Amino acid sequence: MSKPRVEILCPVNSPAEVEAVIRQGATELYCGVLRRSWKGKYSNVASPNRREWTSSNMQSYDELREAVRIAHGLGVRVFLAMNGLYTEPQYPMVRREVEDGVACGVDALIIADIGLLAMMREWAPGVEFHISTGGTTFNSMTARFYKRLGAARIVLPRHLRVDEMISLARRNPAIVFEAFILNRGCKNIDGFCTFQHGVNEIRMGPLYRIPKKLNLDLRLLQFLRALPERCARPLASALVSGADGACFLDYEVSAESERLTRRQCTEAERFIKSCFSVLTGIDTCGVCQLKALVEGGITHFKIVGRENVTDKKLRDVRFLVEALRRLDETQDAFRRTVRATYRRIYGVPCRNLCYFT
Amino acid sequence: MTDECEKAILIPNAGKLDRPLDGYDRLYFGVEFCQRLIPTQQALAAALERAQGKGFTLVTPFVTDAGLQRLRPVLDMLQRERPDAEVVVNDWGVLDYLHENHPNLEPVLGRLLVKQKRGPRILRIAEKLPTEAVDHFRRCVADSSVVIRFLQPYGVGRVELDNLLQGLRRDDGLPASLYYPYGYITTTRMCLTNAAYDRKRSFREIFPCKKDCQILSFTLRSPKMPVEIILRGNTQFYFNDRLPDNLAALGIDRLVYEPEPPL
Repeated sequence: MSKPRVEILCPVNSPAEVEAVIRQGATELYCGVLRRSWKGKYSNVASPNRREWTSSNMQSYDELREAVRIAHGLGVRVFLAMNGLYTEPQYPMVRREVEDGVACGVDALIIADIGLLAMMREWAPGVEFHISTGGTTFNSMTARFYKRLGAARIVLPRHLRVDEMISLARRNPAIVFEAFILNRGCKNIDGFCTFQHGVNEIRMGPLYRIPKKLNLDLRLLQFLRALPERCARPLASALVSGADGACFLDYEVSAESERLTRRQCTEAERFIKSCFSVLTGIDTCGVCQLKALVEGGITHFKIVGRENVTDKKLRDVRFLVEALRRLDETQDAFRRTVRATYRRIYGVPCRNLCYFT
Repeated sequence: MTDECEKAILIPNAGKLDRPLDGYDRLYFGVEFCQRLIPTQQALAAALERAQGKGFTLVTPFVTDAGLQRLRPVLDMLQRERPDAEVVVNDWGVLDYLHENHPNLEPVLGRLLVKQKRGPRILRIAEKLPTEAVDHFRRCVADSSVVIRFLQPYGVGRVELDNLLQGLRRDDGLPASLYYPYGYITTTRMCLTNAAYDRKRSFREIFPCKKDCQILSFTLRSPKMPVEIILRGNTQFYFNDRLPDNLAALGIDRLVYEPEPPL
């Protein structure tokens, strides 16, 4: 039996990095656009896609057009994330975003909103669309529901176990499933979480963009990781990056239970506090499960982190390309190889922050 | 104003069915957030017994294929025993399944699918947002005319809303139920509460369930979060018991009281 073709879907936030990530091995690209007119009306917090930071997005459709031109020249498809959740007054602008994206030549849209999904035939007839992880496809009936509506691909939630993803793929061979494979492993289910992101960009104005643009926040996180957790957590929460997500705040936690002892409650409080730390949310990875997923019928893998600097994206793609070359090894050998590769490429050991179990 | 609304109470499981139901017109029974808490047929029978003479709404969660298997016999039984019942759906697949297999049961679009913007930190930034953005954060996706049209063939005639901290805005939309005083913010399958008191490993796993959501809850406070977060089981909630003055104008004709965070 011939080996399935495996796709590596890489994020981009600028035309300048398109060629580099493709030369490194990315086989598909995705991106979002947050233009001034949208931001002026709805702010970055209500972005048209699920990345609410300005630095995660291209700033104009001219940039998108250029990115598509370069990618198509190298034979690579580009997908536009339109996976926000829209309310009635936004529809005229959403339609314009869709039409402008299509006019740039994007190969597919990534969608979460049921209303946009319903309008695709009218607004963008014949244009391929994928169901975002925000579409919360946890079962075969939901997969079939989206397939019947015309979806060409479904991005699975991070909150499915590997066996559940494989089972979905086997039960629905006519559907292309895509799985997350690297970065940003939120504890909450993307499509069911209603916390706002990008809040600090509003609170701090243009100043907030500087560390994000230079990826200083990610570097800061790496620094914080090296500190003992009791020092790192409050520090991270106090600093720019830590305070941006509600999941990263340094909460005071109190447990209530009529049945547990005070000691058990204290233990529980300590555990819960440890779950709400910025240190738990970065560098998440599912690459050790790549072999099982590919053998189970999942062949499209998404790297998260549109806002990451190009260097990080290049390392991510290289990591995946090298891992994919070793799929013939046994699972144990594959895992050892992956961990060694991680250490070599990123210069730090794997932290066992796994997407999938 | 609230006198004009139908009054319902949400009881998540059979262990809590001994709560007095006087003054309520309808019993909501079941859980939105966790397939491990899908009631057994025995539990459903007990709930139906308690709901005699009242309206009955079965609340269902998002499900994996395994969860759907567990839900099927419960829905079969509901159709047999209370064909006039409503079913709150929080999964498009469950809606599709109901439509195909139980067209008599009345589907209601649940809190996980109506897509309100609930994060409490909106309160901290609202004054810096453009008017249109503030308006956007008070609305929900399910009130769009496009979505209403989409839902029509599925027989959805009602939506379930949270009592948003930033207020509600509805111009149109299907008749709505308003849940109070607990609004859901987010949920997960990596249940943090489960065995939190003897957990030796990271939360990054879907653990076997010990039903600790039934005996343990947490309050999370931070100066950066305008309200307390209540963590129960796999779900985080806020508390808001101030009902809007203009329920009828908002198209809200039912109030769903949650005596506790519904897990």
